[in-house]
Amino acid sequence: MSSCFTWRVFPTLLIFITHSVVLRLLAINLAIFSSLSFAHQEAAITPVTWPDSITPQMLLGKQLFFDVKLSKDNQSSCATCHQFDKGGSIPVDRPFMFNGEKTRYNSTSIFNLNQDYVLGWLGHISTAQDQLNRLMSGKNVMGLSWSELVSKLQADAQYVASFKKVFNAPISMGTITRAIVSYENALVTPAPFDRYMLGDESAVSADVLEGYDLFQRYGCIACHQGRNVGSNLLQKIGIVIPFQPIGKALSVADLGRYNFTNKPQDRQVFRVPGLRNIEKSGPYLHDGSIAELSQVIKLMGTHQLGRDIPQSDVNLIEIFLQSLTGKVHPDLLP
Amino acid sequence: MSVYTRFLIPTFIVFFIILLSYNYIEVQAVDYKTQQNQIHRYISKLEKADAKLDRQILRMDSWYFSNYDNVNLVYKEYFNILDKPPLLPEALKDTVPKIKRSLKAKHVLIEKLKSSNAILRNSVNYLPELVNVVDLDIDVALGKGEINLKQASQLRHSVQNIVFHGVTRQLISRVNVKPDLTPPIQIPSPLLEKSWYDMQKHIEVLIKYKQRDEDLTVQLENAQLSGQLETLNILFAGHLLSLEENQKLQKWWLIGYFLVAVVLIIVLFLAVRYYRNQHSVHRLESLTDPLTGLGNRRKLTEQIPVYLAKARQNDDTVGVLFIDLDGFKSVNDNMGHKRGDQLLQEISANMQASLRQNDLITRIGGDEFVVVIPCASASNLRRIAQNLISICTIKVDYMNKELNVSASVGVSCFPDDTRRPNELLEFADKAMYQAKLNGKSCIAFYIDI
Repeated sequence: MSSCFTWRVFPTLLIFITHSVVLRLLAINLAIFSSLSFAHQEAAITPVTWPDSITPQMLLGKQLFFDVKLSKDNQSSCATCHQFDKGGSIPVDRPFMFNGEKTRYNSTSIFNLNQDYVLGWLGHISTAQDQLNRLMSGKNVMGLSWSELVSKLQADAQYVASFKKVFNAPISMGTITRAIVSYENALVTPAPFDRYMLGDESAVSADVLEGYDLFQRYGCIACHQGRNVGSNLLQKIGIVIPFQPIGKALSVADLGRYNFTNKPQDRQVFRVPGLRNIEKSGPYLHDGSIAELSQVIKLMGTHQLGRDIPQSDVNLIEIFLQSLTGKVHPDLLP
Repeated sequence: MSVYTRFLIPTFIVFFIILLSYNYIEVQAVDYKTQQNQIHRYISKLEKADAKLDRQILRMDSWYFSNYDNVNLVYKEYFNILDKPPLLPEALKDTVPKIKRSLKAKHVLIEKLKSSNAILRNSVNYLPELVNVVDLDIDVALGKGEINLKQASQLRHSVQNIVFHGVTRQLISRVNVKPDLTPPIQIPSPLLEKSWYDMQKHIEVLIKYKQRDEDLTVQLENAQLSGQLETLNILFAGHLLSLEENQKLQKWWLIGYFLVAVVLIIVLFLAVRYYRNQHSVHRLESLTDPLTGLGNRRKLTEQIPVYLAKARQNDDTVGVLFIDLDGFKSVNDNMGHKRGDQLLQEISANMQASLRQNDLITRIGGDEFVVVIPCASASNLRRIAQNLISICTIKVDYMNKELNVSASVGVSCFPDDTRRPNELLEFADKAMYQAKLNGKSCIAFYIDI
C-alpha cells in the first residue's frame, strides 16, 4: 500500500510546468492533464435520481412526517424543523425543542440522507432509524416517549387501519420507524446539475460550469464530493487557519466530535455537510451562525484552504451551488 | 401362531427401526452439509468484502480517486455481513465478533485516512498555483523596484529548491526531511512576504498531512483483517475435520448399538419362548396326579366352576360322583404299596377308558376319586356310577386268600342339590358316607338322604 508511486506523476509534471513560467503553457498542460485523468477518473460528484417507485410504506411515512400528533402539544411535526421549501432545514440558527431550550446544533437537511454513512454534525448517529430512536427516547424534542406515541396513534382508527394495511402489523415502535425512515430515504432531490451530469448539456448555464471549475480548482471538491457533494467524511474545521467563531470564545458545541468520542484529535471535527439544497437551507455552519452563503464560501476558503477567494469567484461558486438545489418527487410532497 | 411367525415379526420390526434410524441420520447429515455450505459461503463473502475494502483504501492513494462514497458503501456492506452471521459452531463463535471489533478499529483509521487524504489531495492540487502566485508576486515586486534582479533570482532559486527538491522528495519518498522554508533574504515587499508566508504555511500543511497519510497507511497495513479471516478459515477447516471423524465414529457406534439391540431382541424372544414352554409343562404337572396320570385336587377345584358356568349357560346339569374304594387298605397292608399303586393305576386306566372325553376324573386322595359328568340325567348318573363300581370291584388273590376291592359312590347334582361348587363336592362326600353306611359297594344320591 505504498503511496509513493502514484504521487510521483504529479511532481514531474510540476517541474515541467513551473520551468516554463508562461501561464498559457500551464493552462494547456492542465487541460492535457485533466483530459488524461478524466479518462480514468470516477466523477467527483455523482448524480442522484428519484426513487423508482413510491410505496404505500413511504406514503404512510409521509402522513406521519407531517402529523402534529407526533408532538405532545400537537404543535410540531417532523416538518416543523425540516421544512421542504427551506431545503429540508429550518431558517433559524438553532431550533427550539419541546422543553423550550435551543438544540445544540443547527438542524441538518432531511433531504438526500446518506444511507452509507453516519448522520448528524458529529457523525455519531449510525442510521436514520437510530436518529429517530434518539429523538423519541430523548423525549425533549417532541415531548413524547415511544409508548405514549404508540398509544396516541392507536386511538386513531385511521392510523390503525393504515398500519394494518401496509405492514399487516399493529402500530409499534418498529413499524412507525420503518414507515418514517422509508419516507425519509425516498426524499432525494435531483437538481439541474444532476441532469447536466447525466448528459443534458443545456440543463445548466455557462456560469454554473465555471463555478464548478472553480469549486474543483480551489479544492472544495476534496471534501465536498460524492453523491451528496459532501456528507461522506469527517473533517476538522480550520485546517490551515484555526477556526474561532467571530467575537466569542469556543463553545462546547464548537468542539464537535470531541463531545462524542472524547479524543483530543477529534476537537473541532465535524461531518462534512452535503451541499445539495445549500442555497435554501441557511443559516449555515454547525451553530447556524452565518446567514449568507457567500460568507460561508469565503470562510471555508480562509480556514480550510488558506486562500482568500475573490468576490467574483465566490459569486460563481454560489451560482454553481444554486444549481444543486433540486426537487423532491411530487408524490412525496405534502 | 407358529414359531416362525413369532420370530419373523420382531425381526421385521427391528429391520424397520434400523431403516428409520438410517433415514434420520441421513437427514441430519444433509442438514449438516447445508449448514457447512452456508458457513463456507459466509467466509468467502467476508473475504470478498475484505478484499474490496482493501482495494478501496488502496485506490484512495491514486491520483484518479475523487469520491469517498464507495469506501463508505463497501465498509457498510462488510459491516452488515459481519452483523448477520449464520449459525456458527462453538469453535467459530468468538471469531466473528472479534473480526467485527477489529473492523471497527480499522474504520477509525479509515476515517482519519479519508480526512488527511482529502486535505493532501487538495494541497497537492493547489501547489502549482501557489508557486505560480509567488512567481507572479516576485515579478510584481521586481516591477515596483522593491527587490532587485539578484534578489529575485535568489528567491526563485529558493522556491525551486524548496518546492522541487524538498517537497518533491517528501512526496515521492518516505524520507522525512523537513525542507527549510525560510526565505533566503529579508523580503522588503509586504505583498510578496504575504504570498511567501502563504506558501510556507501550505507546504507545512502538505508535509504534515503527507506524513499523517503515510503513518495511517502503515497503521492500516498493520490493521489488516486477512490474518483473522485466515484464522477463521483454519478454525472452520479444523472443525470440519473433527466433525468428519466424529461422524465416522458415530456411525460405528450406531452400528454397534443396532447389533446389540438385535442380539438382545433375539435373546429376549428365545427366553420368552423357553419360559412359555416351561410354564405349560409345570402347569400340566401341577394339575396331574403323578401316579395315575389323572387330574388332582387342584385340577378339580379349578375345573368345577368351569363346568358349572358352562352348565349355567346351557341350562344343563352337572353330576359329581365321589368314589371311595372299599377294602383297598387291606391290599396295601397285605401286598405292599407297590401292588396297591399298581392296582390304583389299573383302576384309573379303566375308569378313564369308560368315561366320555369331556368328563373329568380326578384322584383327590389315596383311594378317593371324583368324577364330574356334565349333561347327565339322574338315571344316566346312576348307570355310570354302577359302571364305575363294577370297574372298581376286583378280586385279588393273596396267599390263597381273597381280597375284595369295591367302591362306594356318592352323587350330588347341580342344580338340583346346590348351585355352589364347594357344596357340590361336600354333598357328594356326604352321600358317599351314606353309601358306606348303606353297606358299601353301592350308590347313594344326596337327594335321597
